[in-house]
Amino acid sequence: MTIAASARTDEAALIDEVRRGDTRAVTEFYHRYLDRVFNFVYHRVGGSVEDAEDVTQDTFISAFRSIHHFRGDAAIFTWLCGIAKNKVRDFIRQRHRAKDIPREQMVDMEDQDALETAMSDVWQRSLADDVVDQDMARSVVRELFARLSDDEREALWLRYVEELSVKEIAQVLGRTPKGIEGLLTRAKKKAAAGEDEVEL
Amino acid sequence: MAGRAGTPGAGALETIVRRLLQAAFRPAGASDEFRDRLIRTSLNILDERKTGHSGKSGNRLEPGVMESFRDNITSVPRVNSLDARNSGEPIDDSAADAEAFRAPEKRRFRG
Repeated sequence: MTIAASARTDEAALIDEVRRGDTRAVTEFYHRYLDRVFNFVYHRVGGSVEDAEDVTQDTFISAFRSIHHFRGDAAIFTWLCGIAKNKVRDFIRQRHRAKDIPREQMVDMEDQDALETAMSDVWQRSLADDVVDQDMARSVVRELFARLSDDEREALWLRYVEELSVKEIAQVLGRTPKGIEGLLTRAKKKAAAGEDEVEL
Repeated sequence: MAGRAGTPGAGALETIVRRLLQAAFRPAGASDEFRDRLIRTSLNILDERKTGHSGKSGNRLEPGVMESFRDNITSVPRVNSLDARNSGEPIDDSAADAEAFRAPEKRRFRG
């Protein structure tokens, strides 16, 4: 049995025990996935622990309400990332609506471009901490992310921070693996173009 | 694959991008208290599904109670219905009238 197939069998067994309401299995489930999902959410809501907790909680509540429908086509973390991604989107929409902005300046959050700009702002905010040994990396990534589309940023993050496979990224973003390869290639080309300007 | 002069090849670029992203986005972790709260909430959701009970007191009837209630309602003789009134038989409404006009009981404050 390959490592991937073995991991999938292990996940299926865990899901079965969780569905039965086994306390130890639920604890193990959170031990494996909570920090990864929290981290996924944390950087997408602008680096606020409180907001990250709210969105992470919504993600897991949705997951547990629909856990009996989980068929195991995707890995558990991939499935959770798909739910979290939608929850982050809802959160950003709600927060922009809740802001005290004059009506004429209000951004239409159903407009995809406006939503992408808002999400880009949030990514930038999560890079805003001034930690000395991260300064260089943050400034380069901030500059790079400003030139990427929302999906290009997501693909880069999932590939190089979460280390998901191209197939898994495709499941999270609802695209084909070929489409993800294209996104990653474009994002890296943009990084290479910017690399001329920034001394690495 | 080598890049143009002065730029890294595909493999080197991939390594640079990976290192930059991992350095820029340090992992953030959830607190133990938050984890414990989520575990409790999740167990409640699973239990709710198993028992069909919301876990909130007084919000939901036990299974079968509603059906039994409906059976009782339909089995009550409809003596005061329009059909009975139109049948020409004399109907004694005195008990119902007395009930309808009785002064409401004084409510007691239950602290």
